[in-house]
Amino acid sequence: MAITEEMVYDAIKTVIDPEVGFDIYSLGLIYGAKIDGDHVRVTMTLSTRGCPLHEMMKQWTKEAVEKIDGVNRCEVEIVWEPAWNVTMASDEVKKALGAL
Amino acid sequence: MAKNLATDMAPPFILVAHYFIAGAIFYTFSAFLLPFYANEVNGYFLSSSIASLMHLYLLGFVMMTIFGAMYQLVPVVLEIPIFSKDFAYIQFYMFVCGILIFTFGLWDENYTQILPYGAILMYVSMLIFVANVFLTYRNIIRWDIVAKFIFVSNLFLFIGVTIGFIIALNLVYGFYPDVVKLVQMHIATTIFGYVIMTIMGIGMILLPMFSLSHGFKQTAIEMALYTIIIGLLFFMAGILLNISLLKFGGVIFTTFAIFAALYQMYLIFSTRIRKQNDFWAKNMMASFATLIISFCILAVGIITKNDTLYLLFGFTLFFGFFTFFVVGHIYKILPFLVWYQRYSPLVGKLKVPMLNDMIHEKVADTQFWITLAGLILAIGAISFKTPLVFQVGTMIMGIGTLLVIYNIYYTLIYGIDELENYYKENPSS
Repeated sequence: MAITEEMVYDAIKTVIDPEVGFDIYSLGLIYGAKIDGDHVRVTMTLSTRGCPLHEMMKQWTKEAVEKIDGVNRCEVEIVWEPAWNVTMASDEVKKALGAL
Repeated sequence: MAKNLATDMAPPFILVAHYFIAGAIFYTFSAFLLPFYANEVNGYFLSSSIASLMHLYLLGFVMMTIFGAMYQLVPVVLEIPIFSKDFAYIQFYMFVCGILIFTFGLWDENYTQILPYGAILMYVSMLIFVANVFLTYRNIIRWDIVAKFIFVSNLFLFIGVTIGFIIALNLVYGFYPDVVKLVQMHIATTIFGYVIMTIMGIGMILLPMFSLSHGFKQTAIEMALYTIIIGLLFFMAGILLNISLLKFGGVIFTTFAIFAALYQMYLIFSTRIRKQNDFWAKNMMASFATLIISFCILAVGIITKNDTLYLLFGFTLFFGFFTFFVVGHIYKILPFLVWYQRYSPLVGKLKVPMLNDMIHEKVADTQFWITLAGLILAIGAISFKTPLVFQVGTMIMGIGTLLVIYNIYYTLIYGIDELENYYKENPSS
């Protein structure tokens, strides 16, 4: 079965930011996923540059994606441009945070 | 692999826990000594016993917690591992022994001769800290505003503790008569140059991170950095050269820097996305309010030359601003450390708690209001010179301290039973 972006994002939705309490996809931290056969490359950001969970978030995302059937390897790149802001989050998150 | 990645950057939980637990013990200890100082409200008298309590509180609680937090934050902020974790352990034990010996020697006139031994232990321990930070900077890639603050504040720490060490030796051997000059420079460099500058710097990471603030300008904090450096250099030059105008200029620049930093904190808070006024947000608001109040008191004190106001300034700054800021962040950083140690390897395998779940919210909330009420009473007592009210106020603050200790304990034992069962059922995890 071919791997789809939707499958990747569903897997990423299992990764929760323990400080905010939402999954990192709904928070808008995931900028994209490129699929090349059994290789997935995820581009993501973090809400703050000095986040102590930096490495863990990267690792959890990688592990979550590699659990998908057919994915052999996942690379996660953390980027800072564009900087994250709340408009990137889902409406549910915005509402819960009081930003909507 | 997750564990390797974690340990490359972050220090072991147990290292930071050393500092946080010791900080909490010193906090309790100094809080329960406060009511015994009730008679000091009758007049401003900088006795060695007051100096002893101030050092116990500032070194034992405020700086101890800051050092622990810095070992966690410096690698994260600078994106490089700390130079030496072993240095951090050596520093810790020397620092604790040094504080105990030094404050006891300062407190009891019969034991003044032990004071230099405590001083040398503390001095060397802080030199180790400064060396560890500077050696970490060798590999720095990005000199952002936080990195600049940490670097400069550690330079001031070096100057401040060196002066402090000279004062301690002078107290016993009496080789320099104008000790007031040294004390003024010691206070300026350690409290304003190190503690307040560090708070300004790490505040630029912690406040946006916990409040999810974005899109604010950093001009105010950049101005604060340069003006506080100028202010402190002017102040010290004024003291050394006996030029009052330079000293006064230093006070003006430093005050300006603090208000610029406060304006920056306001900008961060005004753009915050998380609007909940939880225990952290309340502590932050109270800390900044008490900082503003303390500086207003200082300004009136300088104008009216009223000694009581200097005492009030010191009390509000120490037991208001520092307490609320440090306690608020203990509620954020400690759960993270415990969570990281205990739950991060189990993400995806077990339903893990949120960080806020690891603090007893009602206790934290009650602690906040109790501490605030006690502080207001104590401030009123100093203003109106009523020792009995001071005793009541500080005892109430002491109850607040116990609630902080309870929450620290609550966080440290959080989930232990549940995880024991989990590991019994899943021995391969």
